[in-house]
Amino acid sequence: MSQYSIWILEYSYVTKYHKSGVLYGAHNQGYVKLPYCYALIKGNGHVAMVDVGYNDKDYGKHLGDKFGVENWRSPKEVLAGVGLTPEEVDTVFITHAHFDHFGNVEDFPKAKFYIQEREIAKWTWAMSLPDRLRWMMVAVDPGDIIRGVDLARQKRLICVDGTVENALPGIDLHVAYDSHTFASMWVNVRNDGKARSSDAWVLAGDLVYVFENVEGPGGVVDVDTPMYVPVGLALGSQQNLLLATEAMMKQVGYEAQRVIPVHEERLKDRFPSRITKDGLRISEICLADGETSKVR
Amino acid sequence: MAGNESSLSMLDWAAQIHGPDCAGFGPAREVAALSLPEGVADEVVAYGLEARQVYNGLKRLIGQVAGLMILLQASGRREVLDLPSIASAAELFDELRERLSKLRTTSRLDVHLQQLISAHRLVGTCLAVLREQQAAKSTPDLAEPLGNLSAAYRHLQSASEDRFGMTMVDFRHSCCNCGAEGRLSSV
Repeated sequence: MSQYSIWILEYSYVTKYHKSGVLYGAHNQGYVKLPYCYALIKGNGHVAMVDVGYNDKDYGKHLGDKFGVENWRSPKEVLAGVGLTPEEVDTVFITHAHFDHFGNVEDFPKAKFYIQEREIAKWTWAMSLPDRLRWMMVAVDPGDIIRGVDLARQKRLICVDGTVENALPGIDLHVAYDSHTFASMWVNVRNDGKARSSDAWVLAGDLVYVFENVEGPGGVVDVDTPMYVPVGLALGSQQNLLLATEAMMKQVGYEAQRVIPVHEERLKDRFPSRITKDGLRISEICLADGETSKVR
Repeated sequence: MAGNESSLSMLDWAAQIHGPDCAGFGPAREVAALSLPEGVADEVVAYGLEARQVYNGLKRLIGQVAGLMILLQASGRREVLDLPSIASAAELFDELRERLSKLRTTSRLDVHLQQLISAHRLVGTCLAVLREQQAAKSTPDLAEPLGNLSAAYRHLQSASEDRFGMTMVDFRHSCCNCGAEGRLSSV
């Protein structure tokens, strides 16, 4: 019995992202398309998101002109692809505070947001450091933090500390400290509701960018079996990224295809998907009992 | 020598992450296009380089104050107000006031400077509220300081100028960096 449906919804993309950004050590190996996506989880009477993307109005033109980010669409347009509206979203899990994950809370007026307290605390600390250490602020918009204050005033921002079991029934939050960011979160959907699930899906945030982060070529160390390779963009340590990957894999019984990287263009090769009229992809990871496909 | 440091810092903006031969910049002959457009007066460049320091400092200060407010409001942990970051925020605030007082503009840049001054003043009111709360026992109503902080952000946002590295978000290493298509046409 599956309790939840999961879709990965593309809301924009950049056609040329350097591969070394997604895969540690992949220098001079060209570019990959990097879709910007969020995950939608529906079931058990809830509509939940993993991350909310960014709002194009503030720096969309800058991103388009300078970085080649294309085809941004609002959550209203994107969620329509699966027959939902942003107003129906009641829960949002923010994996980390980068602008493309935490940058559009205002479009979800009824949702309660979860983020790791340490993610906020350490960004705040980083902003107190001398300008020469500003690399630690890369991709963080102070405006998003301000909007977080407003959410907190409305009691719609929950700062959590570490693992949270059953944030929603059968959905757990886990954290990898000092990895991609100070406290990057991943979401484990135990779709059969069992504590030791045999139907778990991990939504990895940016702890995993592409399939190779989980099933990297072992050949680089003369071993034939795949191995974990950390993402290229990380504030913390590769070690912590690898250990987080191991924890995720353990939760899904070491079935790599159950760890979902939301920036992976090739999800379409593993899961049913379709392109919307706006030219963005919907990937259907799993369907709850009684739910109808949104991609067929 | 401060001028030299600023100039180097300005050049850093384009060069420290990617060498001139990075494919993301396109053919080598186009690298020169990343310098400032012709016709920008020396006074404007001098102002821009100094103003950028203030801009980036204000950006950090606004983010820092916002972060402290979240921690105070969402986690209810009053000990955040005892963090050294309050003191460091106050130090940065004073440093920025000093820098602002030394900024010299041409008349056409007065509006830009006023945006920075307004942002500085508004974030100062928020910082004052946080400092007052160090001795208080209950969590304050943050409605007014939040309004001021949002206004400070908007003032700073309106002072953004990416040719001088004044952007609200540093995207250079983020999940879009090196997406060169369309980039060359805009510089």
